[in-house]
Amino acid sequence: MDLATFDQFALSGLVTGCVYALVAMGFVLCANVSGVVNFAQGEYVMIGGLVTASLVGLGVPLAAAALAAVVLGAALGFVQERLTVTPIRRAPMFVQITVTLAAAVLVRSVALVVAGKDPYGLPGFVSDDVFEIGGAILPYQVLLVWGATAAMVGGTGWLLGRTALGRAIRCVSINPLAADLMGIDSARISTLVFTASGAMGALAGLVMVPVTSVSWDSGIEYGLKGFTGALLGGFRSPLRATLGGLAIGLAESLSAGYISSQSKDIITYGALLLYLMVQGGAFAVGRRRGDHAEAH
Amino acid sequence: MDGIEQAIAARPPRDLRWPLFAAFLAAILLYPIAFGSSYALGAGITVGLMAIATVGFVLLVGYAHQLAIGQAAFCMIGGYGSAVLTTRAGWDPLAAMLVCAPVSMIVAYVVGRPVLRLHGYALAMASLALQLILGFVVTQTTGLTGGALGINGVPKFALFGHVLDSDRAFFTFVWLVVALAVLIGLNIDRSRVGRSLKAIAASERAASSVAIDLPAHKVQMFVLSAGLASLAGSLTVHYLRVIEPNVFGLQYSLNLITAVVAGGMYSIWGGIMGAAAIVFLRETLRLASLPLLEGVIMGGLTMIVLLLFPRGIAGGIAVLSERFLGRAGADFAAMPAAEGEGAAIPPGAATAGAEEPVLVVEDASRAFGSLKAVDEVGFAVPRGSITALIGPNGAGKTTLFNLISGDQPIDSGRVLLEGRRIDALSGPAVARLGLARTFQNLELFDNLTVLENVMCGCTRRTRTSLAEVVLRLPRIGAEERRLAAEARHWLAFVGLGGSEARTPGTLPFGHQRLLEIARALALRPVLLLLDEPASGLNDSETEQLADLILRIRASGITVLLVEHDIRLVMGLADHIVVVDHGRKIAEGPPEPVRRDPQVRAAYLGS
Repeated sequence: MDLATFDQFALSGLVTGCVYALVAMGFVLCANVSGVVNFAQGEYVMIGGLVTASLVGLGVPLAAAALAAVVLGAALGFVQERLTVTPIRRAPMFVQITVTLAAAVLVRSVALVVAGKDPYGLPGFVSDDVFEIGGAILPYQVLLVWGATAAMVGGTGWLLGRTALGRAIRCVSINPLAADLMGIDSARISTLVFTASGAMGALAGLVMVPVTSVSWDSGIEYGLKGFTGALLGGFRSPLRATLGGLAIGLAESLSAGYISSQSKDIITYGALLLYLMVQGGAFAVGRRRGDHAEAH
Repeated sequence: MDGIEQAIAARPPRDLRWPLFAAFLAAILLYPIAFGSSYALGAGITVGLMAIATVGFVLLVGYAHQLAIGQAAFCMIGGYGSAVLTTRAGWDPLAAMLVCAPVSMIVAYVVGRPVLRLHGYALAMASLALQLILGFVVTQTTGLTGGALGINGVPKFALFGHVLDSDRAFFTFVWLVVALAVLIGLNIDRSRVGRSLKAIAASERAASSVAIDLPAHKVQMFVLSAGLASLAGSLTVHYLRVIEPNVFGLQYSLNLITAVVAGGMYSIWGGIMGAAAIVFLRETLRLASLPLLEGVIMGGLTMIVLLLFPRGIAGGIAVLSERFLGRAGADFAAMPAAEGEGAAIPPGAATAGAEEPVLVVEDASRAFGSLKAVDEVGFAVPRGSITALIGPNGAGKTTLFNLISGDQPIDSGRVLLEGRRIDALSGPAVARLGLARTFQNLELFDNLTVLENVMCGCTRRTRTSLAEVVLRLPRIGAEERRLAAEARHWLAFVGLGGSEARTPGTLPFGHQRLLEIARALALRPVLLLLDEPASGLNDSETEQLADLILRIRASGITVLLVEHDIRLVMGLADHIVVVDHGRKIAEGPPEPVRRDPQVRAAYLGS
């Protein structure tokens, strides 16, 4: 096997994988603190990319456009938590899914109306040049993607592990009621996590635009693949979810490279479907009670 | 959220289902006469085509409480299947449609059976993945499906060789299919399946405890909804005469969701109203040249309705009709007791002579981390006894109870019910073998009447298939009457005769406890597990309870109770097991146990 080609596919996969990883982390953090799986998670990425690219297109300086996009992402996360998560925290699961899904539809449709159908791109933030690593040729922009992802994942890990706020977030994740009794305001924590996750999604989306163009309907793909990554990571640990997201990016890039570019989505979605079926015991002989204690 | 819980808990106002259905059939036949314009017929057909899918979707979303984001996947199977079979292979449209529907149902079963055991978002995601995969497949297999361009020249629908040439004929046929879908839905709604689904929605734990198979019920609704979606897909293709990947794309799936939410997902009729609302909205946007706004309106509408009016249009109509027509009691209350059946219920257990204990627990252990909640505990429950499991707080009683009832996995050891190992079985499987239980913090089905609650307990002995339920064959009516009569018997047995038509929430606390016992007895168990039955009862209620437990034993059912109330236990039990710190410290008749120094130490402190 040609090592340079492999490197090319693998490293490209680790670029897209970064976005999936951040979405996966957002899924898990939000679900843990609020008890609601937020199906609009991928839309934050789309908003970040689309807002930055269209503002730059209108002549706004890149830094200002990026800032606006991150602020908008944060605002979206905040509003979504207040409007579509808090009121349904104790509703049946299918209602929660439907409400956050509807929020996602609303966001992407507004994006369609405002920005139109065409995809948006941007030149590299620093330079459009490329560099070589292990035989693979990559644009300099990917360093920004990697750097931003490392900073966000590392920062989140530090926050969760080393700070009082992080401890509060972990408490709420384990048991919001007990956290409330200990004087932690779980409602505020939940709002905070959604806001931060909106901002981080938007930031991931905007650094990605020079690598892959963005359009109003990009969110669902990021969402679904990030979700798959979170699922692979067990849907409990934010850091494991990021590894799941990276794995999805890697698998999809390798299958696109070695099989066919059309195959990558079928392979990812097929893997998701198969994974869920296996989890549900499709091929299991003799299941034990308690295997799916969390299922109901 | 209150609104949603109320919506689920609310009972339909008086039984207007069959008059409504007759009026609906009349409307189907009259509409083409009254509105003969091709525009009116076309709009009617479009609504009808969608309604076939949405009525089925109501069964999945509103009844089984599962969301499939990619429901249009099954429309795609029906649509592409029909288009390919009729244009490429020259099949008859009716035959093609009737072949595609079972294919869709099989796909739904293969995906749903495992996935529906999982967390609630699993089906949502799995169905979305399925739809996206199918979308890629139909765009890639250009030879067969025409790829992105799709298939043109699909023939008009035909019935046994007669082409339904006029819109009028096609309209009538489509709406008769809608009527069939509604009939299926209404039959399910008033059957044991509908009752079980409502029970599952109210409390999955309690539904398990009366042997209701949760995944199986959800799968059945998913499979039915897939079959109907497939029919909708096939008929739509014969109407449009073309199919391409976007016809049943993600937008169609999202529209189906908006339709059932807006129409009212807890009502079969809601499916039709939702389809009408969606077609009306889309048509308005088209006429106003604002098709881009479709997503904004659909997404916003779904959110607003779910957050503010969870019962949708159908719920609104129900509220209005309640205001003007008043409420009536549930129909089961009015149902006559079947001749001679109610009185002569055989005693619960076949006491078949054997002297072996009903339940044997051998060296059962269960640890949580380093805490051994139950540590090698073994005891037996003699047949026909009232056995009590007692111990101070934190002794491991509840864990032991859960190991027996199937709520928690056992680490090591065995649990045998009438010689059969049950320690690896799930809650419903244990219940099917004849072990019934009650809950310390009542778990009643608040969305069902008192009588229906107890009827859920009888479900284990129903012998009819889903097909019979869907078609409501005569056997179903007889079976329902038998279940109602039996349920009445158990209500009278615990002293709740006369409360049949009430909802559990309106009963006093003590009566709710009795109702739970009646529901458990309706299983006709060999062993009844009572989890702290006296907690929250006053003295006279506790006395009544003691009397009831004695009568339960007299009817041949062995009783195992976990209880704090030592007076009740000493007066009632003939066999006592004492646990402390996860270990058994004494076992035997009340007197020796009471004098046991270890027991005294455990209770009084040493």
